[in-house]
Amino acid sequence: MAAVFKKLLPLASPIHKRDNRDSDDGDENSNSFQIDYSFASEYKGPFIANVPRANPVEVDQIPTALPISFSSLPGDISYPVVQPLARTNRVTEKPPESAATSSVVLKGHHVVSGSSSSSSSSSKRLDVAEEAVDLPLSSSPSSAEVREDTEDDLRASDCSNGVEADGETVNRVKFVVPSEGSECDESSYISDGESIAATPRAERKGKRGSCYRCLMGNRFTEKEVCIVCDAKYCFNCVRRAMGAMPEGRKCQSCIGIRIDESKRGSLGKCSRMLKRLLTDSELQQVMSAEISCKANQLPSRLIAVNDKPLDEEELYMLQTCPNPPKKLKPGDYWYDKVAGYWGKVGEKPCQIISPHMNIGGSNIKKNASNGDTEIFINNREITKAELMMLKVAGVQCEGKPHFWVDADGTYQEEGQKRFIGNIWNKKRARLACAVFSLPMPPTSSAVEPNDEPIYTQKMLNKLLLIGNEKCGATTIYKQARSLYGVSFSEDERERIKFIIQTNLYAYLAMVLEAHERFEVEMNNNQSSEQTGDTGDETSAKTASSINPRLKHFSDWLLKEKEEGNLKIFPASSRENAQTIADLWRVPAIHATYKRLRETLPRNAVYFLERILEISRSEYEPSDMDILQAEGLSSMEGLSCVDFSFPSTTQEDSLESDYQHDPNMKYQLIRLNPRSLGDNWKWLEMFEDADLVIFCVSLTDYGEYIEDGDGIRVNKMIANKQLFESMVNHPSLANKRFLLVLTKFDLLEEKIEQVPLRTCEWFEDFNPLISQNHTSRHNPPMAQRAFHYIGFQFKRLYDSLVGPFSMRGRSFRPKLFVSQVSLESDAVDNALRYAREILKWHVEETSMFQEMSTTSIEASLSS
Amino acid sequence: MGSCFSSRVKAENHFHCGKSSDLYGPSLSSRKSSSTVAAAQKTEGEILDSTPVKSFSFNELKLATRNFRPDSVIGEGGFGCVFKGWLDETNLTPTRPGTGLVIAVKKLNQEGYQGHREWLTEINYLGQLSHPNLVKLVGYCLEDEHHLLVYEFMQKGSLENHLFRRGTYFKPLPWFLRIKVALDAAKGLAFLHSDPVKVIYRDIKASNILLDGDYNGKLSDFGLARDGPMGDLSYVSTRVMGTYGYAAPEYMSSGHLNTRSDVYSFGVVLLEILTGKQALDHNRPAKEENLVVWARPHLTSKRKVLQIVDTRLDTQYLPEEAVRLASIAVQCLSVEPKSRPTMDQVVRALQQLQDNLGKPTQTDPVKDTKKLGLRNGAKLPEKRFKQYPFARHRE
Ligand SMILES: Nc1ncnc2c1ncn2[C@@H]1O[C@H](COP(=O)(O)OP(=O)(O)OP(=O)(O)O)[C@@H](O)[C@H]1O
Ligand SMILES: [Mg+2]
Ligand SMILES: [Zn+2]
Ligand SMILES: [Zn+2]
Repeated sequence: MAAVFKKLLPLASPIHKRDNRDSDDGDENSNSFQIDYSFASEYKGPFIANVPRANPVEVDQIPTALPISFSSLPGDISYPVVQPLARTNRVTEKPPESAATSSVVLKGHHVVSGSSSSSSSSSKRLDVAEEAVDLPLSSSPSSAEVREDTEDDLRASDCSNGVEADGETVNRVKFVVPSEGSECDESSYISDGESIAATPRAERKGKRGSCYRCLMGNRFTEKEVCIVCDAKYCFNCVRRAMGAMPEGRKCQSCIGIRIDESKRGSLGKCSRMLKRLLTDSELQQVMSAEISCKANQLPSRLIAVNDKPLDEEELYMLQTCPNPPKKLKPGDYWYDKVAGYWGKVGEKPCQIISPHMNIGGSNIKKNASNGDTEIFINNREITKAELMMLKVAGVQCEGKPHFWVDADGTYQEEGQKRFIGNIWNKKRARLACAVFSLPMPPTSSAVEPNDEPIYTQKMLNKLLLIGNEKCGATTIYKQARSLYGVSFSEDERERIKFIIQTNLYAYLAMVLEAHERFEVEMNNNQSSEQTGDTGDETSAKTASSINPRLKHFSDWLLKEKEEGNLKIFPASSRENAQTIADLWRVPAIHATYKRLRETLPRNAVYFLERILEISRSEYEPSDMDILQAEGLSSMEGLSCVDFSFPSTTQEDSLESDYQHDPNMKYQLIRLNPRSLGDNWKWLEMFEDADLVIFCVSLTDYGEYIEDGDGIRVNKMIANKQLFESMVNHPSLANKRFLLVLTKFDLLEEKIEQVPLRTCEWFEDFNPLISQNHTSRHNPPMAQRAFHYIGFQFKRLYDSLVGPFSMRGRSFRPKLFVSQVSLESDAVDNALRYAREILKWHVEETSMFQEMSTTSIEASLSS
Repeated sequence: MGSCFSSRVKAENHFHCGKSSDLYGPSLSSRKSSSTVAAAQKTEGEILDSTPVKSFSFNELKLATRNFRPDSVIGEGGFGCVFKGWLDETNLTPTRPGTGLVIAVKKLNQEGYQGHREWLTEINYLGQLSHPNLVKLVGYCLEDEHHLLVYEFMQKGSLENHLFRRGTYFKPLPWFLRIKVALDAAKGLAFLHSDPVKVIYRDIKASNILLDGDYNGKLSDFGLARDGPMGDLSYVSTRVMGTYGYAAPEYMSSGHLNTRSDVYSFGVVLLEILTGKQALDHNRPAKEENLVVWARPHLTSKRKVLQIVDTRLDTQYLPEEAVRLASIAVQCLSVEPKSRPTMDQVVRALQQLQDNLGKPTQTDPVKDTKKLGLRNGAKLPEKRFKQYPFARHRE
């Protein structure tokens, strides 16, 4: 069920990415669990004659898009015709038609060429006729551009035939041209670039979350969505609204129209609801049509390369080249044909694709990526990030040189013949790319192992922080920064501030959502009691007393969150801060927050407590704020910090030969498994790492995620799998591993509620409770659980490396285990422990007795 | 030439010559008055710089180039390697990379220099020549066996590398810049040939035409390639022979050099610009190895000219422009030195071409071609160029 719900939610909401530390209860994931059970439960009521059924399809009953034949149009029936991408500039603003129960309003904005003319359905037939008359003319060779549009026209008109075939009341469709910049339209893909033509968008007649056709239900009702206009239909209505779905999940009136590009990722992925509704073969057919039908293909002209829209052949070439751009969306791109750099206009490169393709405009613009470094690569002024990467790669950049760079990475000064070197020769270059979120060449073959050592003496130890999302590694990283005084740069703080504020909005939305829920409950109670005065006076009043501005804001926030694209714009934060302050002062909302506080995630409460301060544009995050902030790991693919340990007094007194070199530097690198490519192939960049710190959240044993195939997996099992692949990864074969079990403090709470044996891997956890009731004999359950989990990992590790074989290692493999919590001491201890391990590694057991790997106590640090 | 080494030379304008041009069709020569061209030339042509050429110590240049670091080598030529370095702008002392004046230090191969004094005199003379289309010679170093020349750094490298960079998908110099660079180089050469400078370049080729940050073309290494008659400074004589493909036939056969042999070499450069092919390329089939030999038969008709234009230019040029450039080139390439135009004439012809770039001929209805959908100029019907009498002087 959870899966179904998640499928319906748009992907990548910032709130979903956050650290899941507090998800035991009350957070919004568990909300979605509760909610799941509120819909689509099996119907057990009396027989209803009218249940919509997935009947076997009879071919001639399927409403299909037939070529329009105008002579067959009966004179006075008003056909609901989607006004297509018209090239005319007619703007016939007619008052919206009143009645029509199931009228869907479509908004067409940003149309490729020309503007969408809006007209009510009564005038539609006439328009169709006009378009038809235009057709032969517009296919004359003199107007190639226009011709493309009329193709759309034709397709759009086609669908008018299919609409009636259902015999149902048809949806009256009309478009409105939304006013530019209206808040609700700031969907993610508009920000992708203004030049993208948009598809029509349905406007909901009912209240938020209701079905677009029957206007019933709320946002927890299961719905299927039209991939064109975003109209959402409930179980009962999908069939009627979408018919036989010859182009996949589209309203009948949307057939033939290009899909909403933000939905391209979900092509072929339907809701579970639809799976129930259709037979397997129907579903298969619909989904494959959705993916492969012509109308749903990415229109080549929406992709401009070096200022020139592509034609179909060029797009084909682009998509089928050995290294095509990933997730190609409509938009303006620049392409360095010599080296293969590829990016959005105005942005740094995002990928290195196959070079030498003759597509788009012939010349790249100097300012294609909006660089400001005065340094050029193949006639493009590069960005700061690229410059930093070049510097790391050892490219001499003094004097603002202009370079020619070849696809293989060899570079030379512009106009010269002599190659100076190869950017990719140094492994550091790849590391730098990861740090600065820059693309790397697709093949690793360009890397030659002739990397010169950065330090002649080994004075830098690299510690890799690896772990699944929300494993606590980023927290360790952040704590290390504050512990060892490596503060964040202004730029980083600015970005962190933005993330924190975005999170804050999401937290606020959680409160508003709850508020709304309470309100509904309240109303229900009142109406059932039929007494107006016995209800909670204050909240009943505030529900109506919240002023329209606040209401509007709150609706917008909820909508954005529901759709998963909650985004705030730094520019608007000043205005919003005032609105938030006002909203927060509404007593009912504040009361809701108080009621909710116990169940909200810890971070949410931390920030909501200071909502007035944090929402302000002047707000500057403190170190503690940064530590508490969620979602920072998404800031960059990889974070990296150099530090050294301040020596403690205790250490100073140690014998000199046991002292650590105070000049020894450590580099903590937080690796996000997602950014490591297929099979973690970029791990090879870190072949020179000295220690792998594998992080696992202790609370994972009771949590679940969905894996790539949509199967629910216990997060601890997911950790186990990642651990296995890391230990077995050739690039890490010779590495020491330190397992850091995080969130010990949360485990203490959780273990009381959820037994450790919930996780199948921990089934044999069977702590002996001594009759002797002293704490010495009965250590806290969390402590035992921690030991047990550590033990399980050690056993796993031993089985992976083979009990006696060194397998080419220069040391006896052994898993070290440590624990941390939110206290910075714990992190300091763990990292100092890492340092010890490295020292041991060097001295290899001469000083310390190798402990039996099965006696875990001995090697635990605490 | 030897007599005026120490005297200062002023640029004069040499464009008032009444001699009727070989290069202009009658209709064209009247369109641009030669006086405007002359005026433009005058302001550009300050010949001598007051700052003398600086003598550097080897150590200074070592510092300026970070000890001749391998990754500061920018190019390599017949003389030796060229390094990138930095000097303080005001006192020309070595400075931190990235600050001050960027220089190109040419470290000459160490063998075969005699007559240091003559070499020096020559350098001092050439170093004082100042023209917007000559690469400034900042100084030199003569210490033990070290011979080095210090030039201002030309940010965009050489014409050769822009035209012939390997890799077919590299977009080479656009058409309008090719014309501009050709004109710039012609101006530089015309200046060298002019009275009283009178320097024979001797080694005109695409690699010696360098481009600054704004794609202004400048000649480098002028006057250094000396041969027999002028004395024993013959360190490059064999190398000049090596630049076969550019050298004029009379020079090949007799070893005799004059300004007209420079014009011939310049014609070869024009051909390279037009065709995007190198003067001599042993990777081409035997018949095509030598560009002039291969192209000459194509220079006889408009249609054939359009067949040899650099295909990478696709639609950037108007056919008449390509034909125009070919006609200038073919005259420079006349076998008989006397039939070749002077560089002044070449400058004016190129100036004319540049001034009218992108302007299709008015008398023809061809301006409507684009609307007819015929965007590829090269495919236009031949009648378009009717009013251009093709080069009347053929050998
Ligand atoms: N002043 C300069 N600024 C920038 N690059 C230069 C400069 N001088 C020379 N170069 C580069 O160094 C390369 C080698 O120059 P060099 O003059 O040594 O050889 P060449 O021009 O190929 O032949 P020649 O020896 O006949 O001049 C040139 O092709 C050019 O790319
Ligand atoms: Mg040279
Ligand atoms: Zn419905
Ligand atoms: Zn729709």
